[in-house]
Amino acid sequence: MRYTLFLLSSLFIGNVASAQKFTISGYVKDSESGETLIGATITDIKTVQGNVANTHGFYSLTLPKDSIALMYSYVGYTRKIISFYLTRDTVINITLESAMLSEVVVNSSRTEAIQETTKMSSFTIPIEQVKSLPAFFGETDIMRVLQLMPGVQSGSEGSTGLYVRGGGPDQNLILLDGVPVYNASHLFGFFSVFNADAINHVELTKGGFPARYGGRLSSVIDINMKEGNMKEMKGEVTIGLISSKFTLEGPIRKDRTSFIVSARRTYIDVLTQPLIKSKNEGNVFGYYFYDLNFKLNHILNANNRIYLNTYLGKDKAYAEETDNHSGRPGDQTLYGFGLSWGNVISAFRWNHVFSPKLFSNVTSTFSRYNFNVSEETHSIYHQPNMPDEHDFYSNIYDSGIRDWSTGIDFDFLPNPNHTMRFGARGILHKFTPGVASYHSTFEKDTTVGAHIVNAGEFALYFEDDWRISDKLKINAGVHASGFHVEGQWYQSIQPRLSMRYLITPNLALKASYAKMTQYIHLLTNAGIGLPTDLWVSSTSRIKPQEADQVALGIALPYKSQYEFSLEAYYKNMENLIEYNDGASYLSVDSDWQDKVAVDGKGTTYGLELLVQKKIGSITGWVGYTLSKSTRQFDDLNFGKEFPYKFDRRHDLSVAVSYNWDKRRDISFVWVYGSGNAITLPNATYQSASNNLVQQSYYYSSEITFYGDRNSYRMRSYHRLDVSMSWSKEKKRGVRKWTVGIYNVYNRLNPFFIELGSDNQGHTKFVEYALFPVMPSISYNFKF
Amino acid sequence: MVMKNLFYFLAIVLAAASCSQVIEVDLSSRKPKAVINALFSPDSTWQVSLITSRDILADRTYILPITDAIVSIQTNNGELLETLMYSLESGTYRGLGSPLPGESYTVLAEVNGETFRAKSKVPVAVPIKSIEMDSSAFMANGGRIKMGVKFKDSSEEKNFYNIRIILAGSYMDNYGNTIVYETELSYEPVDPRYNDQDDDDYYQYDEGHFFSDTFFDGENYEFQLYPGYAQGEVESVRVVLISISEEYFKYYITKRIQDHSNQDPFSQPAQVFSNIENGVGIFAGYNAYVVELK
Repeated sequence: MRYTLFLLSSLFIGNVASAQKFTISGYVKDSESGETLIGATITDIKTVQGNVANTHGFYSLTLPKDSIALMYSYVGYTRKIISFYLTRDTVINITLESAMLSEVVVNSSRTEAIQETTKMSSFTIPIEQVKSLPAFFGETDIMRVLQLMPGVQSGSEGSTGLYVRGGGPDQNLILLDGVPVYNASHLFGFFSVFNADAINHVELTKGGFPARYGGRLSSVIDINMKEGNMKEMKGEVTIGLISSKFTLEGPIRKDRTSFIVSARRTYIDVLTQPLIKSKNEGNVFGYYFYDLNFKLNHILNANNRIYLNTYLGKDKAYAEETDNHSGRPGDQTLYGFGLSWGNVISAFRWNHVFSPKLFSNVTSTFSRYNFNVSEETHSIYHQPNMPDEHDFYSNIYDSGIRDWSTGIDFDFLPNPNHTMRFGARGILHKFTPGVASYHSTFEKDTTVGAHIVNAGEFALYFEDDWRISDKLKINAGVHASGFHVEGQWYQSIQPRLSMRYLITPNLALKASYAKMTQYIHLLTNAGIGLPTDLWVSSTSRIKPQEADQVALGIALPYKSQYEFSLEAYYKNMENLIEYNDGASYLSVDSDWQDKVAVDGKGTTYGLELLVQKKIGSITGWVGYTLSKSTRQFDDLNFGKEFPYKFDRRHDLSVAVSYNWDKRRDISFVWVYGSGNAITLPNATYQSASNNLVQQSYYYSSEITFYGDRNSYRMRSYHRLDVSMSWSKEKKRGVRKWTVGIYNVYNRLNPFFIELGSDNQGHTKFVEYALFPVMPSISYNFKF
Repeated sequence: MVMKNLFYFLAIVLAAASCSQVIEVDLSSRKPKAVINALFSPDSTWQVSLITSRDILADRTYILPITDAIVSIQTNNGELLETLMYSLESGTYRGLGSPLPGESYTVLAEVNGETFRAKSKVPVAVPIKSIEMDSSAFMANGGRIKMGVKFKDSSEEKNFYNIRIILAGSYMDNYGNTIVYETELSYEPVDPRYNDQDDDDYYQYDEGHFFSDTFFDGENYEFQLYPGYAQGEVESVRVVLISISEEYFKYYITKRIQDHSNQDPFSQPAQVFSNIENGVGIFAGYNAYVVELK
């Protein structure tokens, strides 16, 4: 405590003593669109002191009264240097010009240098780079690009799920403009819900979590939507094989208010409907998904700014059938089946600049994920000269989670050596973990399954990014959280620390420790991101998940174009849950708590290497992970430790984009991963039976003997994707054709294995692969 | 039903998208395993089945007994009680004596220099105090009569039970012959905590339900159930309260989970409990108390 007081007093005394210091603050934006440049760096060339623009594009830098030369830089943009004599607090709202528009050859602009920041185990991928890489079915997907980074695995073939450092898919905090997204997948995980055209910035953190983040164990994926062009109306239309999308953005009032709207929908159902109808005597079935992003952004004055953003997305599969059940004229049965799931997200944010050193952000959010399956039968009985009789029944299964939350965050920059962040957040959760209801002509309403659970989650945090000396910089903080559910109160104090020490000016040693607590769980057993996965709350029986993670690494730039990082990590997880052996989500008759194994432990450790080239005509990275991830539950695998389902010893990704010339781009991605762990049967044997019935045949069934859980490894996974694009300036904009090939050399990667038979009828294991070589084409027009 | 539709939908989506190939799988532990099966009680003499497991890819369907093993039973303090002899008639190793209630036994089987071993106890039989039939809420219970089996649980140790109902009767076949039959009647426990299978159909299993004394340790307890429907003329009903060892309980519970999960491709495979060192199968004691209703 005394130490804390000393730190705080020295900090403020230092501030008073250096009365001749002044603060430069403002926003960093794109010159053409007015979009904020999150993570842009601001450095005083003379003192080599600097800072980074926050997620709202705001920066603040306090320097002594002197002549200064401020350099503003951001990857893909031409850097700008402003020199002046600093005599008072100064606001500089700066715009940077995209390198694409500039004739200047950019060879050194970048975000904060890798060896400078205390951040480790995190990375940012420029959205233009995301768009330039080959896309599955031509659909650009942020989550697929994140899967290419070390420490991040994809799970099953084709899935957009993320398994970060041996953690489960529920342990990722996916934030869209600060709002948690609970199910980020369309079409059973093959596509994510994020439309890249509406995204400004993506950052993934997998360890060394700053104290401002909490609530999940394994990663934070912070996605910021674009704010809308403040200068002029712009748009983009993309027509692809699976879906089409459009984006429109522009000022409502120039440099004051802007909007962006972006929508996407698949249309295979619309195109195939006439054919299906004609082939199936009027019966229909189909599938589609859509999503819609909308954001409004208004600058009230120099110190106040508000945002309103909404995301709506839905997947729906449906079938309708009509049948003349009796053969009598007029009789008819209508059968309908529907399966839908989707997210609704909304956020209101207010940025307020109290002073050049104090920035605040108030956020109120709503997030809902809902999954629904319904089945309905309506029979009409026609009798001459009588009113028709109607019979109906319907079955509906619902599950989901809904959050209301509000919070406040402060950035306080008292001097160049400290960037402090503190804040508080409260979330009201409502869990609907699998409720089935039945309605019919005779039974009005019968509901079975788990009951709705309401819970409250609260968090406070404080962190300080503290430059102790030129060589040593730390980010230290604490995240305190609490959770209240059905009379049960859980609380957790989570210390966080990350540091970097400069061994040489270009070589940094980094280390971090983070304790994380997670009060919500995801029940999943298919591993392919099914919408049936259930979000459930910690309860008096199910404790919150906890993790401790340490990481150690080195980071260095090479020839100003390359960044190299090597990290080792060790993560220990407790209170994990998993479905019991044989338990199935297909049944809703029993409480989910009776179907899970509790108090699970997880251990995961590994080594990650990332070599990245962010600038120049060739950009990309090579990522390699060597890791091991295990689980142990007293009630699973007879208490023995077993490999995690997505334990992958080796994982290698190579992603390269080549900007051939102004008109042509070519890119490729190659991935390799050791085979996934699965459980296979070894043998069968006759069961014992206690037959009490006389004069009856002796009955015994066969028991299947499985090896240890997840003890068999499928074949390794590898795949090459390529894409090429051609752009051309047209009268009203720029058109771009993109041709891609997924799985170029047609590798049949294993998806799952089951018992089957060969051509001679002998019992064999049969391996299923999902996606062979698949070409795609898309057309894009920007105006 | 709704969820089954979802499953079919998913299966169609995946089947439409996937292609398959037959592969050779190298499973390190595919050496045949020795299987010992013996459920023993004071009501019968020692009988141990010793066979080999069938490789998962083998085309053989018949049972392959191990006939040249030395199979013996030891008492709790390690004394040899009896060496069992292989019987061609039953295909099992048989003894002359019977286990005693409350005693623990170990089976030892030596096969080609390898030793397989398992231990279990014969519980003391728990008497049924009374059986109550209740038809007062006949219509509310869906046209079913409620049966209550009353007994006193022992507080000295963890107890496990299995309740079975056996019907005996006769019916006339199409040729006018009287056929005498005996059959096991399935039932649904009234308390849903005892539904040990995760399924809509409570009546699909013979061999009754299995439960522990977790909710009534050391107390007088009435296990209530809805019997299934009997066909033909019933002449007698035997209600059997079997006190089972923990091994017996775990074996049946996990076996049922496996039976159920085999029908669901999205569930994790379920391993069946075994207490046989170096092998698989079950060696477990039980002790039955029977009440016959006429």
